[in-house]
Amino acid sequence: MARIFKTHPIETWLLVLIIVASVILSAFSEQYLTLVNAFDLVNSISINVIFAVGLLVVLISGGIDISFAVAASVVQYLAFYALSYLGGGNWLIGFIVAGGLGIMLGAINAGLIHYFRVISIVVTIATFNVFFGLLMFLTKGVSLYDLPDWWTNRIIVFEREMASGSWAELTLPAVVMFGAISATWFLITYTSIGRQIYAFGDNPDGARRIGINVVAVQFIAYGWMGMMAGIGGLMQAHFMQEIVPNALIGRELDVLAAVVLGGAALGGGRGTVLGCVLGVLLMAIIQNGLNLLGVTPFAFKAIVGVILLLAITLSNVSFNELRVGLRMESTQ
Amino acid sequence: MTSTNHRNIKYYFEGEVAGLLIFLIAVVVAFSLASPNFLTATNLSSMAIQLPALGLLTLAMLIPILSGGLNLSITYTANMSGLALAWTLQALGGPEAGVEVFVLGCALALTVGALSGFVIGVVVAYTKAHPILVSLSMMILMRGIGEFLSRGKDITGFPKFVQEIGQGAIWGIPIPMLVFIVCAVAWHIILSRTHALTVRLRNSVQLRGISEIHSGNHN
Repeated sequence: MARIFKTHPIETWLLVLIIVASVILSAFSEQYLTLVNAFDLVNSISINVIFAVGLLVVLISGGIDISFAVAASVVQYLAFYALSYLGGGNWLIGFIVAGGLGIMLGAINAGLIHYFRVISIVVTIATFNVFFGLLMFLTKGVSLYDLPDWWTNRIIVFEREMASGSWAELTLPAVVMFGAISATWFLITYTSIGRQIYAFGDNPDGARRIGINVVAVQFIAYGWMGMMAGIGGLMQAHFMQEIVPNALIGRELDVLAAVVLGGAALGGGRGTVLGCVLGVLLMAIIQNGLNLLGVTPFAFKAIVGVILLLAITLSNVSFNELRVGLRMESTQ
Repeated sequence: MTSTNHRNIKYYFEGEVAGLLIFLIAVVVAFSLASPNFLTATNLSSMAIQLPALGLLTLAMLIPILSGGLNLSITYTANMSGLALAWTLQALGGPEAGVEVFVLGCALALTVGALSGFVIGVVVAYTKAHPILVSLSMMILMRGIGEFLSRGKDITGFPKFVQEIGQGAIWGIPIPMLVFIVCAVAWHIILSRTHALTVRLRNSVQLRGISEIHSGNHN
């Protein structure tokens, strides 16, 4: 336990916080610690986790992507038209089309960042506006409701009737989320290019000098983000059973906040899939708990904001430094 | 004196400024040729009413960026400031509120804005947290406080002169434009004529650059 705390301090802290929050919530609300609520929580975080693991890879590579949520909306529209052109399609074609379109949008970001040497936040704020502007212009803000049946039919992977009569269900987005988590974990932990992404994020000049293929790193990082954005968009349309052009806008900052809470550094080179998932989970548990405790939804964002501000402040204050600082002051 | 003036003029028309200026002229010419309505008094004055809000936010973003940071929260902070003024007016008379209430409201609005920026500044300076993250959480906090306190509802019922500030004009120039011009001049004086602040800003950029090279960070 002590060893884990040393090697993965942020993940351990998040786990402790999640356990503490869960204990408090189950004391206040009988509904919290039930299988129905647990599965609801897993289903509800799945789309954000899919986005989060994609963003994690970009953050590890030392960049940032603001455009992915809007890119997901763009993919939803493009995939809708591509699939109806292909005669309706099915899940396999859907995943390939959505993932492929997402990769293309990610590649636009990577190309602009790499070949024009612009800072990633500036590029992705620009593409955010371009994607959103084109989307609103071309769709005229019209939502799509006539999705193919395979896309909108709920798929329940696991279900069980509880004693209370309500059903505990795990749905397709949850399974896709587990797929996204495992794939990202495999990419950044076990593949050579994954370790190169860490190396490049930590020290780009050093990485360049030891011969890491910088172009490949950038395109794979933003392409991975784009692919996850596309798949997340596919899942969101499946979940909502409709495509609304501004449904995902604003999601990018919530996901970014959760990923950073999970220990990914904006400077690059740091971050784990576990921390990222725990970050999204903690944010969801806080919202879920506030809901169960009967707090007005209008207060959710303010509370989340305070928690984030405290988390970012505290995680940057090293307690050893504080102690050293105090000792120095007392000796003066 | 003449030599410094000469240098100043040259400085302002170099590099990016010159490029932007040429681009601006090209856009104005192109739009004037494309549409007969572009270069008319009506269109120009409606632009002069819409533009200052963006201009003021740009000024707000300028100083944090000069110091090597960024402030994502400015729009929601502006929103909170607006709400602070609105509540002051509503609480102290509504449509019958006097000028002194308006002045008090403005003071509160500026305090809210300054406080939000100050908290970001303190956290960034003392914990070395990334300005994007700190201002992102401040943004979520400001949006949340705004949603919580207003419940997403509009606030209406202000004295008549408040509307005048948004839509009136002095000597044909819309008042929002005048506010923007005053602020732009004030910003210029702060950044070019007050010694202490510019030196501090530039120093912080340099120190930041050096420490980032040492720690191997980048963006």
